[in-house]
Amino acid sequence: MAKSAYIISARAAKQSHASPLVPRNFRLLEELEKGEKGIGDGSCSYGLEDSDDIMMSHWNGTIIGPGHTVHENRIYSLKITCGENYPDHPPCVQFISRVNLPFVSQVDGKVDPSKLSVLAHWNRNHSIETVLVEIRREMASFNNRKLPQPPEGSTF
Amino acid sequence: MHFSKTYSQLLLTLPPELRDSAIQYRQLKKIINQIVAELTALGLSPDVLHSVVQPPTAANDKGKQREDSSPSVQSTGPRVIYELATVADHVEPRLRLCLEPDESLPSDTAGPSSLPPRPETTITLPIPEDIIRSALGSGGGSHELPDGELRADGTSALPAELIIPLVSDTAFFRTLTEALNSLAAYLVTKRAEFESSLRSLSQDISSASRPQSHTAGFHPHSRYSSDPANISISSHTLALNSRSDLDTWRQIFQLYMEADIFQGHQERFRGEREVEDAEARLRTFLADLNEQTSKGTLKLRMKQSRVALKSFMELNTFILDLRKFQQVTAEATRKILKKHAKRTALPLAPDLTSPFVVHPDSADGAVVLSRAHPVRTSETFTLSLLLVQALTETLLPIIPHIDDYSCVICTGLAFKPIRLQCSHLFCVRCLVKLQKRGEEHCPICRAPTVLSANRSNVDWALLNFMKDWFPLEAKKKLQQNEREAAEEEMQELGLDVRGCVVM
Amino acid sequence: MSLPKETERLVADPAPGITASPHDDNLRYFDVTIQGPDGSPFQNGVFRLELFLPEEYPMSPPKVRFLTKIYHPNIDKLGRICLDILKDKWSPALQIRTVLLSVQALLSAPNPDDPLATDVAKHYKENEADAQRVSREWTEKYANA
Repeated sequence: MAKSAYIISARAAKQSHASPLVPRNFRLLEELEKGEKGIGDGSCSYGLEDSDDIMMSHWNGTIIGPGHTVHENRIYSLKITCGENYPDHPPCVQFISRVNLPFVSQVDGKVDPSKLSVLAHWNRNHSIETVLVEIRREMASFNNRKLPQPPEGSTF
Repeated sequence: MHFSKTYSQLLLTLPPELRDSAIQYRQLKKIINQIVAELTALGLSPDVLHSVVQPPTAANDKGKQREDSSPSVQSTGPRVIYELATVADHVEPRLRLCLEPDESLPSDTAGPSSLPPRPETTITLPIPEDIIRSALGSGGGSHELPDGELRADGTSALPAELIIPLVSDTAFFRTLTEALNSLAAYLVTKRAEFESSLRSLSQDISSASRPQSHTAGFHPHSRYSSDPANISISSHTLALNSRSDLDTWRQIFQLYMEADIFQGHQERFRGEREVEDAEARLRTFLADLNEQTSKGTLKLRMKQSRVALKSFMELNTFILDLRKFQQVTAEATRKILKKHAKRTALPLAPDLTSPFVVHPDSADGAVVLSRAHPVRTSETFTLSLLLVQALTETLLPIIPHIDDYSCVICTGLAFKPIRLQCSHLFCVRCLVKLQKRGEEHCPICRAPTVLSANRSNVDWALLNFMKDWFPLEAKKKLQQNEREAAEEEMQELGLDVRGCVVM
Repeated sequence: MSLPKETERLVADPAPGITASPHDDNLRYFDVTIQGPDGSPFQNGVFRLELFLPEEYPMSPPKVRFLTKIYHPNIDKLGRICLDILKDKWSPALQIRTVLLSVQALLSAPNPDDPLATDVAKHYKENEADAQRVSREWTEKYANA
């Protein structure tokens, strides 16, 4: 029921110009509730870093490395920061776990938004979930699935 | 600036008919001079009075003098008590001189009407000087008055009192109360005039705002098929009667209610507004009317309507003038009584009943001293407020208001109206939405009546009434309903397509 | 875009102790303040809230959240409110005004048996006087107007 309602409103957002824009805080509350319930097959998850962060800016994300790649069975931790202009502007994403990917800085783990399509072509319908899912998809892409990786469990 | 000057300038802003019935401030001021002269001739010049007249009791607030001095406060020495006795139909001020300290005097010297019989003598003027001296100078009861001269009954030597009627002061109060009384009588006739203009205005607006059905083509029965399968109404039948100013009067009354001129109806402010506020609001209302008229959004087609609007504005202006007049009269009354107390050193007289205050329970509006006829504020209204209420209660209901026929969900006209089994009313569009969501409970009473509603729940009588009285609103709502239903259909279609692709 | 009738009335004639004003760029998004009711531990506090009317409003309830920190058994750390009319007891006949009045009433009558902030509810149930003391402290610290 909740899920179909979500689809309807996302659908409506595309079709009708009159449909209201959900403000940042209520949008993040929706994402939090969705994240608490658990998304998809559980290969990606996220939650608030600090449970009384009333502005809901700082998030933790986890990606379980996709199977049949160098990432298989690895667990990657990320920090996601939603600024004041979220979701009109994309969040800042930074790996905590060391990882070798073309869009991740090897200095501090920051994701270069210009090199990751979901951030470069950001729109309001994207979310913390879609960012994590897209990063996981990138890990499994033909170019990235066999990249040599730092030792498991190391951090930036 | 002296008040007498301010007063006459304020009166000049009012219509002559009101001005002519105003109280005569200057004349009253002259009488005060006469009172002072009379008192001085009695040996009771303001200076003397000031030292011997009992001060008002401490409990008095805002300087309103209600009780004469209380004997328990000062039980020795000479006393002079100022009384406003009601004699026949007028007030007769007098001074009561107590020549001896008097323990036996009953404590309630308060109301002149409740004075117990006691030895007293009225003497003629002027008072012999030795009596004044004995009253004012002796103290301590050392002075004995000759038997039979002042003592009315021979059985007791004490107490002895002098009662001195004050002639000029009587004239002062007579002039003032007569002025207020004739003003009250004048206001009664103005009120009757107002009410009769209001009645004829009400008839004029009614006949200028006839509904759709008041045309030759009207059928007393529904023009629509009562076949429940056919409740479609084409919007072209929903049009304004070209020989009615119904919608224009609805607009005017809407603006009038929003202006909330004389009385606040909001959470923040309820009750009668200040005169300046009301005046500004009336001006704004008029400006709004003029603006809408010049823009063409407000159009009075019929001559009858234009005359009625003029009369409507006149009634409002009259109420405003009345408010101003009330304010200035109250101010003049207060000032003259204050001046009276200050110049004569006599205690401040009690408030007089305002001629603008209407007692619903007493038909005659005679001005009386409020002490003798206490004002019960909970039961009184000012005349202006009464007129405002008469105006709104008579005129506004002529045109049915959309709020009384709106759907609580969408807040628009509940068109087409669906009456649920629990008797609650919604527009068909909102009912369909509720049903699509599988909601079975009435939004108002939570009775399980939503899902069972069908075409037989159309309230035909109300539907016809709405078409009749709200043709424009009904047309607008119908178009909006159609647009919304179409959008919804597309969304449902879009959702289906997406569902096929994703799954 | 003109304000809907309901918003117009809400802004022009708010309930005592309550303000609500729509954002210029989003007329469905409101800045709200509620004064702590007299006689409650929230007395003299002014609490900021935000309110949003989702597309389905009034078929669906408005979304409301406290922005000011508050120590109350039915309001959690993120300011989310546990109130039946905001959930399953919503009726489309209700309005923003009634919702905000209900939230104000919730401040006067906390309901620890239907908690959202379980630790606060436990505190309220075990030692109400002490819990109210904390509520007062928080009111003074965070809801000082």
